[in-house]
Amino acid sequence: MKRYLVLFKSLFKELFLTSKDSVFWLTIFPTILFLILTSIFGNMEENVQFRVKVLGDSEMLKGILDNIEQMDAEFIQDYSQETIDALKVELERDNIDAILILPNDFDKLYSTSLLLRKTFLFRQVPVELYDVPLRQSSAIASDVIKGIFGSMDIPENVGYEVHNLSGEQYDYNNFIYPGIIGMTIMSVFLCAFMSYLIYFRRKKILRKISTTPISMINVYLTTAAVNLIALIIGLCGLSIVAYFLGVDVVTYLPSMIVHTLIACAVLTMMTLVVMTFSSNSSGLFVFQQVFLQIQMFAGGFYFPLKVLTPFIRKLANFLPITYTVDGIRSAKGLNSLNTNHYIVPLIYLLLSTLIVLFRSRKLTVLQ
Amino acid sequence: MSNNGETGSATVLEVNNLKKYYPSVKAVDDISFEVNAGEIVSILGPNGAGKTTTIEIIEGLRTKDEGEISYFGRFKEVNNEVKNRVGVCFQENSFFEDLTVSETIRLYKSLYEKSLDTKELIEIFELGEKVKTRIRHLSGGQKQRLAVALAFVNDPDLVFLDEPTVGLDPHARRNLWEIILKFKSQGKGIVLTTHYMDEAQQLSDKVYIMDHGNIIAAGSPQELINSSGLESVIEFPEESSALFEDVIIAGEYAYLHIRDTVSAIRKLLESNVTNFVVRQPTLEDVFLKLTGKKID
Repeated sequence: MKRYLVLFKSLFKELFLTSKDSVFWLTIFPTILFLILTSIFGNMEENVQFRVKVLGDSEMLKGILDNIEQMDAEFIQDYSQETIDALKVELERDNIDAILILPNDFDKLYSTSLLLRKTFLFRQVPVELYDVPLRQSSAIASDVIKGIFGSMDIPENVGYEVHNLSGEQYDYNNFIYPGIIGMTIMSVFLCAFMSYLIYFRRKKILRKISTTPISMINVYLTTAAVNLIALIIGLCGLSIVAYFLGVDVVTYLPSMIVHTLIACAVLTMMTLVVMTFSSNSSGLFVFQQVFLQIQMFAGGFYFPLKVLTPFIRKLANFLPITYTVDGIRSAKGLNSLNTNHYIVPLIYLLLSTLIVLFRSRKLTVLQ
Repeated sequence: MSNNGETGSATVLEVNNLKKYYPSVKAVDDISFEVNAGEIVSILGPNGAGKTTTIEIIEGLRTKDEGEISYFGRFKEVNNEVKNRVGVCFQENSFFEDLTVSETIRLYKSLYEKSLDTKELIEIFELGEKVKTRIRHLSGGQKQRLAVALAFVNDPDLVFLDEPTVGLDPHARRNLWEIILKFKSQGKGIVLTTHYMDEAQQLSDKVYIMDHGNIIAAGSPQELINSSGLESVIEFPEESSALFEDVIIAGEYAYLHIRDTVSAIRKLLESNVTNFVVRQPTLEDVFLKLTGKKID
């Protein structure tokens, strides 16, 4: 045990404490990135597509709504109370932005009200509108709908009743925090870890160590442990800043610990798998960059998965760190995936471990 | 010939019929040798002779194709017990550049079951003044001394030193020779690879000369010189090499290994060649005669 402690201390000093680059990229940069992203996107909605459910049918409204590019309206014919209640829950959970309930035969009633507007037979067409004013997207969707009715010549023809629901405010800071954690894990366990191993190989430090009784796999795992400590330091700094920016760090903490540890194990083993297949540093670098970019942009780190194209959404389902980020988000109900967040990463971990065990000879410096 | 016990002049390393073939070259072609405790064995050879491959196979860094290696008369492969008793100094040494000298020694000490005292090691290798200096701030010579020190950190019974005095000034070289001889006197078997012929001649009990993957000569330095049949060596400028038939040209000089020194000198003087040297043959001359080239 003592040998691992001495090796750990030596590696920690060599790779982290005395390396300004490592300190910056692994601990300071994630916080800076968080500050940059929250300052740029913090007051903006995650997208400009308004999701509206319309109960009832209206050819006229369909025509209008179809012409508004940002409006994603779906007409439903089911007026049952269950449907209405379910839609309200969806609205509160930020799965939709507004609910519009039209009376049966809206078009006919509207035309009649237009014809009879100057007579005592005139009746307003009753419409119900549900929104969550706290949420910017819901407030805008609601305003757009009101604007549509307002533009229908004589506004008083439609008497709409607005119901304000108390859904949670969309909070970019809370959304992006798990994304930055995912990015930091990738930086530490894919980029830094692999770069250190490449550096050791290139400098032939591993050759010397391989003549001692310590096994190479233990050297790699000790290096991974050093990276884990660097990651924890980085995440502590990030979390303190995030806390002061209103992120609910305490709620995130348990899922963050579990998902981070799983992700670290997955990326450690994946790195070792790649190293068993290539001793060539440029090959390893290509893998590192390709995986990093795909995972970072297709994995829903910075944008919700629902705004990505169907192909990218499918691709994201096969990437392990997607589940880390989404799993952490699920603590606040901000997740995009409703599947189990452990299965895919654990499959990656299992397969990688098996490959590493099967090809462990390739991890030695034996030629 | 070998004594498989582990006392006195026990055989610490025995290599039999070792082979390592690559598609285009026979890097090591059926070689055998042994190293006894308290003995320095030098392996010499021109570049590409197969020295490094041989040593790396023995160190467990390369696989062998055929042959048998016996460590300490007991082990047939490099396991942890062997690693605990073997010290290695590579030709090119790399360190964790931001650790200090004492941290580096402590690190490598921790990797073995037994070790020498850090202070003693630092004193032996005269690294006392640099003990708190980061490796990146050491000179080439200091790094080299540290690399050799690390080869002895586990108090090994068998040590491989690949070009241990490269980059050292003559004084430091002599000092390191003394240290190596001191460890030898403690019963350690030492395998030395060097291109300094004087070093091999001074330190070695046995010398193996390798070329094209084979051992082409073996024996003590004096035995090799005696068996070479060389009585004198005349060294003269290469442009006069046409005067004799069996000269070896290496760089700007021609080397004539000859018994009849007087007639050779007369011939040189008759041709107005006056800048020549006549000397006793050395291990370098034996090497030159056997391989036809000077060691680089």
